[in-house]
Amino acid sequence: MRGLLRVAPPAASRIDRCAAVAMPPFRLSLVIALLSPVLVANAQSLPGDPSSNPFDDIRLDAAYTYDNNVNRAQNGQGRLAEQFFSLNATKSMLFPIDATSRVLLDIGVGGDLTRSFPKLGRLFGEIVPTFRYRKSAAFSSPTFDLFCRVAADRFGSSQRSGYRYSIGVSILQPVTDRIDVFGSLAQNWRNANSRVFDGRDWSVQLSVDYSFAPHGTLYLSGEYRRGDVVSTGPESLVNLDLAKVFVADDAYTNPQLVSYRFEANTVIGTLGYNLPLGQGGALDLSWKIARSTPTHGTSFAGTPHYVDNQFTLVYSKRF
Amino acid sequence: MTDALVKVLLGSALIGLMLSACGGGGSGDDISPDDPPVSKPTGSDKFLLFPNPNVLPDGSLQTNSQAYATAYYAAIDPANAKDTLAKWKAANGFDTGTGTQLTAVFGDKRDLGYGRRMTARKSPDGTIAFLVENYLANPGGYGFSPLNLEAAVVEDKRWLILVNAIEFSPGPSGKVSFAKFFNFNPSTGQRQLTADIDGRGEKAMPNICVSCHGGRADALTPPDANGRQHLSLVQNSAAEHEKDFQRGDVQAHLAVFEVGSFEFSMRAGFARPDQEAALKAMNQMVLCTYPVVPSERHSPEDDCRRDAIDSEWPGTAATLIKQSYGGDGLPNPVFSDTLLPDDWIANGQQSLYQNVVAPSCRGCHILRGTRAQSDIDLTTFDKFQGYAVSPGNGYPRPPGFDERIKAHVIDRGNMPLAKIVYDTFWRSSNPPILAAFLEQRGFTVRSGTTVLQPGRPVADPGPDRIIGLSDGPTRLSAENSVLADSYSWSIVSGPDGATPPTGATLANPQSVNPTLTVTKAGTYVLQLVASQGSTQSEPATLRIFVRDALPIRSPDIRFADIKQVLQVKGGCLACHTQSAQGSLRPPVFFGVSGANPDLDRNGDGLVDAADDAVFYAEIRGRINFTDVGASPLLRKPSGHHHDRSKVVGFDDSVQPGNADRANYDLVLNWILNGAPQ
Repeated sequence: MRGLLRVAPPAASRIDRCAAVAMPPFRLSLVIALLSPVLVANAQSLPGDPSSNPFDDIRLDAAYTYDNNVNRAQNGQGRLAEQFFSLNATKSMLFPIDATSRVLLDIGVGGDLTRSFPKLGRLFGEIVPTFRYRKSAAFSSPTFDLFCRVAADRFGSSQRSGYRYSIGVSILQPVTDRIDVFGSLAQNWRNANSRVFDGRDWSVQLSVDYSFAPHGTLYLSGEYRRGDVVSTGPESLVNLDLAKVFVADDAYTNPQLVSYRFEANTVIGTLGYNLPLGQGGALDLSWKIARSTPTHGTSFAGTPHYVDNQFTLVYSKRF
Repeated sequence: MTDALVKVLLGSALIGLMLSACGGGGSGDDISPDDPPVSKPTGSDKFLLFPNPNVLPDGSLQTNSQAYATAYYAAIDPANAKDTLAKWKAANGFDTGTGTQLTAVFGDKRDLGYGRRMTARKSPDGTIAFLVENYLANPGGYGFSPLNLEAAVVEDKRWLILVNAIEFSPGPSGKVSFAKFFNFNPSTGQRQLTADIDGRGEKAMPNICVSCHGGRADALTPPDANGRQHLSLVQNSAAEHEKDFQRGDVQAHLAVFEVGSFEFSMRAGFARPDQEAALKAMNQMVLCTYPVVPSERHSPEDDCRRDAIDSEWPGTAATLIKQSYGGDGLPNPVFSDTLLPDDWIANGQQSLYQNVVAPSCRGCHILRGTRAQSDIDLTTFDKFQGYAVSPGNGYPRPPGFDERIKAHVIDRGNMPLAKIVYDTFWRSSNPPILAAFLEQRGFTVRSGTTVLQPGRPVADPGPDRIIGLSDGPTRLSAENSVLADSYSWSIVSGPDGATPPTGATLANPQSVNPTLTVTKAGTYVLQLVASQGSTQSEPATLRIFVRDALPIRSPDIRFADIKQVLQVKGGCLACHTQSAQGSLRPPVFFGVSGANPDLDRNGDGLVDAADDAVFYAEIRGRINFTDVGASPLLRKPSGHHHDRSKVVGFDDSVQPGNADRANYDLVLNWILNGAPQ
């Protein structure tokens, strides 16, 4: 796996795709979200040493995502599907500190276009500084990251536009020459134009990569999140009961829909395969499923659940 | 590396600046489910207040005070035996398996907007009680929503905003039953003095209930030796007729369940057909609370009703219940939603009734009135049009002139009384129907083709009056104007129509209370324009008739002079006395015939100054300081919807100063001077 360009690897998936349910539905940041874990995995081989030319080594990612419940409809009723076409550019830079520590900086910009609901499209940019520590270059030596993220989104939907912030720690532990295990703990915030799309959650994630080098990598990850989730649906009594705050939605074509934020436990699973494709290229196919359950239900309708599936195909190329 | 790092940092800063345009910070459209219900004011925002709210000298509304609510609860529950919901339910036998207990759930779409879960009980002793859980799943707003109904159906307590209760049971005297109104905190179950039931702020009990349940809003007594104020005695009620000094029967009644005005759930068990029988049974319980005139007792459903005494409300709304279920015997299982009284049909006024009276007036008015004076129940077209007789522009005014409908609906906006009913009326196509009726009756109620609507400034300089040169400068008042924040007074003409007038000056003519000084007897015509911001009212005219001197200088009129009118000059004691029987028995006694006409009004066995203070409070309570001309103290003796017609010296159809209205002029000038004791 090392030295390969991994697109939408477990770490990236967990940071953005997990957002599918755990965070507002528009958080479809794709490979731009490749932050520390990927870089951890490729730490020794990453180009981008600023001592050469910091503006070389740009990676472009083109992605297609099918989301079968983009509005995170409750119990699958009234769900809306959407397709996303995304293009992102990421610049990663590495600043060594000493033999065991370094600082990484990822800067990315990109955008999503949508097929059905234009206001879910967006432009975004983010900056992800990471402090990395690895005690030695020994194979079994784990890599620790302390990272944060500051991102901004401008959606067609004014309510959704705003900022995202994350801070967390992660560890990458090679197990064999084919198997890597990755774990992370992070807290995420969002501050949007509408308080509905504000949010805060904690996430813990564990993923395993199995390399079929040189034919690619199979990865599987699981994540648990506790925090704010946004759903869009009719102004029903159940939705009002769950809601911390709600607003008449400005992205969907049905004016009767409201978006509402609620506290939930979310479990996210990702299964993906990453296939190297030519020099500096890779193709990644993944399926992500997320299920959110409100932390409190209703006395009259029990506790609903929210399930979302996303299928993503990403082509990534490093220049 | 340093250069590279600098470039990276600069680039990062640039991106950060670009990103900073992306927003954040919340939107005004966001709604928290915990937001209290708030509705926007409309009209003059006088909802659920009596048209005469008993304005105190400090400007506060006595009927909308905690003191009033305290006095009310003290009267109906002196031992505080029902100061929590649990106690109240226990006292009324809820969930004991005895008697009859029914529940219905519906959306009160027409009146208060709530999803209502109503549980009705009739106990073996005949006591009837209604417990109403009110659900409002409309965070940040107020109004009917299907979610309100849904919340009531599923009993989603998060949206339980109000719990109120009505109990028809004997009063503390243990004799006659009457309706008592309670309000409980939905969370704590504690009885509440106030509640916000329409998103327009807290208002006091029982005012918010009884204002539309046919109730009265008489003044409180002065504080007694213990500092406690009490409800006034209302002498024509059955409860107070039975036992002296039994207070608390404000003559409010249970309202008819007008099933067609409700919204029903589609859920099994909660659709209208599923609940029609329960609602009919509830209407039968309501019927049992209505007194019945003995001669009208002729079917089994009346067996549970007590005989009405001649002076009280004669159970007028029983007709609505009976006719809606097919007449005597209540043969029909389904409430008729399109009842049209024969009288209104005979007068060709179906449209006015169905579109205006039934949806906007009937619910409250049918619970009002007495057997002696029932015009206000509006059950016939003649009664209705009796409140719309144009006074014209001069004197003498036509017999029975009355502009109450225009005043309340078109100008002051204090009717319809409830916010949703008011808003529904003014959003509907019905105002032109009322306007056409009023125009036929001689009123101007349009600006061009648009029906005038409350919410605009309306100038009110007060009633025409007579003053004496010896009175000195006269304080005018625009305080009865509506929605005004600035005023412009002018003298239009003087004696004999002289323009410009001579011998008259107006100090502070841009104020709410200018001072008029005249040096010459005659008739002066003044004009008032009231404004709200840049919006001006139509000019209103005030005629002041000036004589050299009045029998009593206006500033010198005191309550003793008014008592002379009420107890002696006016001949009021023919009815307003303890010995009055039958339909002649009025709500307020003015005294007794004889050398000392005063009464023991506080029940201490003495007739003294304390009683006089009580009498003063009772009489002051019959002054409407928000609309002086509408004061019962003026309207009733001058023959407006007064059983005994005009009282001596109260002919307000003639010009001020005429001997036939000498008493009216005296009382009016007393009122305009603040009604000093």
